[in-house]
Amino acid sequence: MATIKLENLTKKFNKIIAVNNVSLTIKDGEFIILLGPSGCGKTTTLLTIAGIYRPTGGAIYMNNTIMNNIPPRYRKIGMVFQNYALYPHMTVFENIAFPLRTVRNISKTDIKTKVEELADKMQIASLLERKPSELSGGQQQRVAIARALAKEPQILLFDEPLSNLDAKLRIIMRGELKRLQEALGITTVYVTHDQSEAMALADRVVVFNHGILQQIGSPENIYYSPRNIFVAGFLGSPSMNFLSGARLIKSEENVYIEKEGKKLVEVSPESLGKFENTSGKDLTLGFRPEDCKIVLSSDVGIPGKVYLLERLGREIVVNIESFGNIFKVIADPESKFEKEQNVVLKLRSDHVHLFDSKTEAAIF
Amino acid sequence: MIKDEYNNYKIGFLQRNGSRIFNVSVYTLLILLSSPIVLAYAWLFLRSFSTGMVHGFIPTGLTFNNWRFMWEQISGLPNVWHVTLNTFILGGSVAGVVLLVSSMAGFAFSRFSFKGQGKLLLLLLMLHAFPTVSLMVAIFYILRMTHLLNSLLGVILLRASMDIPWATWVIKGFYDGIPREIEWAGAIDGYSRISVWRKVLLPMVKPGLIVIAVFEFLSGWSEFIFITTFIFSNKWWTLSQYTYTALGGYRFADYGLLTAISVWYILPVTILFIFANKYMTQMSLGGIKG
Repeated sequence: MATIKLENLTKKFNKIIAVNNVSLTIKDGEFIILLGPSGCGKTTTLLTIAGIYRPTGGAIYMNNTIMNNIPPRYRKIGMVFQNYALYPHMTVFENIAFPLRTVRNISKTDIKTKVEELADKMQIASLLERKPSELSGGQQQRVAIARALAKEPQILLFDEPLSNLDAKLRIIMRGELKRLQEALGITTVYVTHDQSEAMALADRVVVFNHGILQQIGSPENIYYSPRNIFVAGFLGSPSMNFLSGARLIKSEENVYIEKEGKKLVEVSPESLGKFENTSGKDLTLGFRPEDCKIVLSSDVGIPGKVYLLERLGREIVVNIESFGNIFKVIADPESKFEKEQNVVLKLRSDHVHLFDSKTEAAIF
Repeated sequence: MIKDEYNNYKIGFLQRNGSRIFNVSVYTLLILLSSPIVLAYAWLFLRSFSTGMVHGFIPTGLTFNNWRFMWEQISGLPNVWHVTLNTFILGGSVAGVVLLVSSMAGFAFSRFSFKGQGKLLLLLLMLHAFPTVSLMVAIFYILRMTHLLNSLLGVILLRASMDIPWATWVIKGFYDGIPREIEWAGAIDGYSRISVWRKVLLPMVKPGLIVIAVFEFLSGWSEFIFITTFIFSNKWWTLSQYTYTALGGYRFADYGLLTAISVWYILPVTILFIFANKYMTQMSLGGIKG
């Protein structure tokens, strides 16, 4: 099995910097997800690990061996692509056997046994004689995974493998992938732009934006303690609400955050230490849709007006207009609200986030 | 009222039969346009088996005498079997050389980025646009220097080099249609770039290769100008020169013999087309199914 280490990895295409100075250590057997919007450098990072691209700067280590200029075929990796990249002129059997044919001194019966074993595991044993064009998307996906596993790789790479599947199948395959990876214990790097996939699958999530690594951590860590506004806004659905132009006020009895004279939320005095350099700064208050309550009136809270109700069955997403923003708040489906109704949002003071509006970095 | 018209489905004759009328007219037009060619070939074929024609189109009697060049020596013409063999060699070799070069050059143009790539591609198109005749003198000197005058090899190389730019363009388009991920998958599966090309990409561009093979075989098969200019001995004649000589070399035109030779010249090409038809039509579909 293998560890991967990226050291100040940089990749440029002409003048465009796709990956900017990324350092990352991946432990043996870990399931790592590279998460970010499209064009953020996550796929480039993956392809550089695969050896398809050569790094412009920095280094890639696998098991402490530098791999910068080693061609993909010596890296002991298996990869699944978004469009599956099956060989259209070969049958499913030939597709899975294709990597095995590069193994020295392997007999035909060995190949056959191995392919059948993989086909059984991926539940495609009945499809071995078909061509990829005769398979559904989900079946093609299974073939692609079987092919990636054929040579018993040290590292598995996935490039948005589920995004071409329909929503229902995506959830099923997601679970299967997770079980498969846990059973095999292969170090896995998985690229996606879908934050729910990242939360569900990853041991650790690596968030990218503009080619720069934003934050590494467990899904919980990233969700509850985002390091900046980008990470905070990217995870969660509906995403975090932000209110800029807030200030921190310290008085004799308590500490609170205000905007335009309105007391938004009180902060516990214990966390005062974190605010040492915030006096007078323009702050952005962040709170997740599930971390607040809608009340009819209150001295402390964000005043607003009901703008729209999205009934999702299990919950209602209440859209509230306030200070020129629309905030999304998850409420009980039983609750009765009407459009244009005046309400106040009461935040859970231990679950609010505060960011420096200028640097976008989290204060807490 | 508009509403009434929408509620009652009143459909007129033209609305009901419009597409059928359109189809019938298109077919009629196509038949009219193509009839001169079809009639010409039909006439050629009939004439080669008949003693003569009356009213232009009615055969007077069945004869195989017109086909005597197959088993008799015709004065002024070499053995037709030898000439036919030469023609096959020319067509096959041109197809082989062009396939070999264009399948690799097209891959390079499609996948590698190198300095002056765009300009080189344009130059390729320009080369193809040059009329061959304008180059004859230069070619003559080059052939004499390389001792390839009066040899089939010289003509093979000439014809191939004239057609390689076109073939490279065609096959480049086919390579462009293959997603990069397929190549990457091959590299990850354990193959070098050249093996990926050979085992994965070449089979995927097969429809393009077949189109090139057929067209280049025909290009060599029908080659005339290089043969008549650079071949001096009838040992290296091909069917084009043979037909031309039969046409021009007789004081009294023997139309029966001429038509039979012409049919003989067309026959292999027709058979080739019938067999390659299946693959040729794939070309327009792109040939690749993702």
